[in-house]
Amino acid sequence: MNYCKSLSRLAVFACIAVAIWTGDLGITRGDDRLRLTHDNLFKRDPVFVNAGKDVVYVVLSRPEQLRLMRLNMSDGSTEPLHKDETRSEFEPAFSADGRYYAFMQSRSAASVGMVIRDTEQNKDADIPPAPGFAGMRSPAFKPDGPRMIFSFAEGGRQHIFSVNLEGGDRRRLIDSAGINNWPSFSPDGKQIVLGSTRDGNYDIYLTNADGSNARRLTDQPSQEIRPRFSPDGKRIAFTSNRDGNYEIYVMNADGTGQKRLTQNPEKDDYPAWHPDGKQLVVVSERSGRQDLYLLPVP
Amino acid sequence: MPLALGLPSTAQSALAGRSPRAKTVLMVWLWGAPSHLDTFDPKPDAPVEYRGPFSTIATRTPGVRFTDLLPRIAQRSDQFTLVRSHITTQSGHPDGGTVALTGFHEKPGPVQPNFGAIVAKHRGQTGDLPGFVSVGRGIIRDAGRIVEGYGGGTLGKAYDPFLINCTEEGKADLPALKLLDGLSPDRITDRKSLLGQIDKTRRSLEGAGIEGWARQYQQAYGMLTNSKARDAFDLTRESQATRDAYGYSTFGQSALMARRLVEAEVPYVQLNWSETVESITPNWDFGWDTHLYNFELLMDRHCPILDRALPVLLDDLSERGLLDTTLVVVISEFGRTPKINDRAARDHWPQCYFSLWTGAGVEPGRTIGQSDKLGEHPITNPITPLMVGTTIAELAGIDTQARAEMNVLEAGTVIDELL
Repeated sequence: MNYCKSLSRLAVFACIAVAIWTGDLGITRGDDRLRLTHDNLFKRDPVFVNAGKDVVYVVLSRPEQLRLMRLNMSDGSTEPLHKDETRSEFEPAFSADGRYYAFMQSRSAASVGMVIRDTEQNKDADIPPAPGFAGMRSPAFKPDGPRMIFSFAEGGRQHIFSVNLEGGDRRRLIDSAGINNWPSFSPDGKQIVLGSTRDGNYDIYLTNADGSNARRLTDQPSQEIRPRFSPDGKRIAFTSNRDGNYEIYVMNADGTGQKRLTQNPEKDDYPAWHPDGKQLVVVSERSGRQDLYLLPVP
Repeated sequence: MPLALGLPSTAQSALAGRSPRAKTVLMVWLWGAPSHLDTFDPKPDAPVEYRGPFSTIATRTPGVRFTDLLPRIAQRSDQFTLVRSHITTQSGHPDGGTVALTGFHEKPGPVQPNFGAIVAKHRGQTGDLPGFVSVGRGIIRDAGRIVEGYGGGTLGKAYDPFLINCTEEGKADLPALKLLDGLSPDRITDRKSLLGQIDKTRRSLEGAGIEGWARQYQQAYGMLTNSKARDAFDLTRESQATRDAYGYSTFGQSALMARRLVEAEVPYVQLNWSETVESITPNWDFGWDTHLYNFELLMDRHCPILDRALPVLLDDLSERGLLDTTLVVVISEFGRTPKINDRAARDHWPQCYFSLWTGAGVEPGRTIGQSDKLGEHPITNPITPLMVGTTIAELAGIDTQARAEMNVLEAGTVIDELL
């Protein structure tokens, strides 16, 4: 078994090495070497966990349910994270030490709550949605302290809030016109990168950890969404449809050096960094099928 | 229902006496109600609390722009006509669904027939397949309540749609055969064993009074034992490239099945986006009812699926020469609030919404009707669901006299500009 795992791992890294050596650094149509899943189902929200040994992601497992799944990178096996759950769960986020994770959970009609799970104490902090149609989005843990952030809409605007890991001490960090979404911290915890429509369409902004001093990193008439800092904090991966189709891009943390990584006529989205900072896991659509792929980052 | 006929319009008179332009009608039903502002009627110059986060892109129709969520459909705008001036009278889903699919309110009853039932009755039994087929996961509903206007209405249950479910992998499932364990079209290879299984089930149901099921069951039985009918549901007969092109979503593969049913000359096919309306609710299948996460869901899921499958469907129908005799209508029960709601999403808006029309001689590449600068109301003649149904009927060859004889679509007039 261990021999097989080692072989599989070796094969994945050999593929990446070949891709880098040949200069074939993006996902192109027909390139199946770096495909991680094979069920073809609608997917979203992948994130590396367990030091890059696993990927947790979301799959539309049946027409009514988004389900959290865990992919074992060494043998390619997958299993539900919550085996008996029948409600939709999505947007998983993990703390840097792996002790906590958070996710969204559909509760009733257009009503979505957030769960912060302490795996050490086997205890949940539940943040219920407000009455009526309401729900949080996009949780992210602060790497240098016991807090997390998420987006939530009130009064027609979607703000960024922070809470402690018990779900208490709620503070509004970012309050601007439009919709703020997909916040995440820089690895040192000093900055937040997010998508915002404060100036019209979705662009990427950087703020201090307390939400102050917002700076615009992209200025495109298209959708620039789902930004994520690289593990060393020097780069940001994101999705954009600036070329007429959703593709994966990377830029320096100050917004310079924007570069397209994928060349696929179908959709590429949801970039998430591997802890080694040299590759991303993305959801890529090929021939109408959606699966997880590894994407080397030059 | 009292018999009070609408006066024939110029377009109706022009169509009178001709053979039907639409041998088949394909109704693409976007259940749950998509936001018109975020799709086909964007308002980029409206205030921030209205316009939403999406950019607009040019289409193949001069002066017409869609949001950038629909780049492939924008490149096909010369293949259809867009109507931007629909209104309806119901703001709730089940009632709104009935009005949109029948032209009339549910109450006071009796519930009027779905446009598909009218076409099916007019045509009579034409072949091996039913006259009205609904491709989707069951009778459309909002929570536990079905849309009363889904079926035969005053024409009787004999004109209810025959239901076919299609999975994201393209496997057909006939709900009428649910009581026959594990039976599906692709497993019917031995007629003898099928008959045995059906007899066994019939005996177990004798006296149970399941009349509606029995009719659907008989139809299903008839189709499963008829190779031509069975083939219509078999997507494995399509090339891999074709199946890929539609995309492996429930809607994508269902759209391909709908095209096969059109090809098999089913008079009326209703292709349902979902069974339930709500977009994010436990055990509901992600309809267009985006009271929450409107912008995210449109961007992440709904529009990519629609923007993949619909252009392929139109291309496919066109390349097979089917559009000349097939009327395609893409529509929902209403639109969504132009003003963004408290939760940064959009609620129900019956005062203004859109539809797409193509095929059966409808001149493509046009926009009919116009909404005001905020997308709140039509500023041209409003188009009602009854006008939609009457126009479909006229194009399917059901003229004023035929409608009167069936006692349907009373006082309906056609959308003149469309014809």
